[in-house]
Amino acid sequence: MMKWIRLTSFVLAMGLAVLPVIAQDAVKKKEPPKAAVSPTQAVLEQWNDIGRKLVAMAEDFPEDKYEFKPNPEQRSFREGLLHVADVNYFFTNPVKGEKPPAQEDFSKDKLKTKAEVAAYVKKSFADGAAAIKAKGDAGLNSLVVDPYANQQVRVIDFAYGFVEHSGEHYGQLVVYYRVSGLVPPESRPKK
Amino acid sequence: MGKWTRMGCLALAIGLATIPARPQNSGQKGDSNKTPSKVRIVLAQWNEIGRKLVAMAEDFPEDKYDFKPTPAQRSFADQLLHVAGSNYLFSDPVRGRTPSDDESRENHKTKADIVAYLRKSIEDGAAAIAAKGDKGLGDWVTDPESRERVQVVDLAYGMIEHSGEHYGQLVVYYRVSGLVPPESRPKK
Repeated sequence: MMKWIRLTSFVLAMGLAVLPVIAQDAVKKKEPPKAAVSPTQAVLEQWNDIGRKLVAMAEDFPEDKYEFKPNPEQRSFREGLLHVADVNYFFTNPVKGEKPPAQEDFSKDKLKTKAEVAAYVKKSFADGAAAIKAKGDAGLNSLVVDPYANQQVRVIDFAYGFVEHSGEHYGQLVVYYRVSGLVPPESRPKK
Repeated sequence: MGKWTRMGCLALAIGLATIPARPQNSGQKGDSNKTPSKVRIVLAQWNEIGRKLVAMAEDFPEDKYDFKPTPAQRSFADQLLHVAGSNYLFSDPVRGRTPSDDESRENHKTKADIVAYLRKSIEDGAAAIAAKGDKGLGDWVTDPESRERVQVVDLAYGMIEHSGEHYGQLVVYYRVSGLVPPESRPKK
């Protein structure tokens, strides 16, 4: 039984956020498979889910801890969020046919308050989602030049690379929460 | 000069690990390399996060394997076992098998056991992806967690993201332990 109740983030990413996990557990083995989702919908669900989790953290974490870092070598909580949001534009801009940003972490010295950071993280995911949506199923297989690698890649693979990147930084911030004596939003009992 | 040299994970994941960073950055806009096949791209991302996790598993001191930054969290060992077991929620359905997720510490007592199980889970996943090939990545499979019908490619990427989240957690476990994660050390 236990093996089905973990990996919550992935279940959520596949669009089941509204169903209580335990309820899923009780019925899923008997349930017929759900309808297939389109490629665009599948990518958007994963893009939006990691975005949702990061925005939830940005809005939830106490502003007086925004400069917290578990170790002096690491980014602060604020810088971690801004890094994810800035890097998203290395995806969104090329997919929209625009130049990528001139450098990473370009917002680090500009956005200082919790309200600014949370709004920017939200906007970066919304802008990426709009770019994916505009591509549609056929467009996801079109080619774009990855500015990091100067390599032609399909939009779909490019998008998932950034989803994974966001996931790594989300994972870091989960531990920032715990080390600060706080419980990450996703780990709290669902209302 | 350094603007393109960071976020190496993404460039690596796109399969360019063998190409030095600087020549990529020389800026010839028109000479983008030939597009790799779909299966090669997915495999590159699957193997890249796998490589980083195995490197941690092999590197972290065995006497710290049960370390957790706070009591409510998984230990370092349990994180690795969770990733490895979860990988079978991808590989097994894709291979037409019942998921065989085993995250039990009792069954993986030593560092060597855990490294081996993690490595095998990544290899098994890679084999499942490779066996599908470009065309098979578009096959439909039932996600054992959500019961949604999803394409193999999307299920694979979902699991890659999941591994990334736990890799990110372990990066901080390293730092809180006073250690530097392998990826953050100067390259030899």
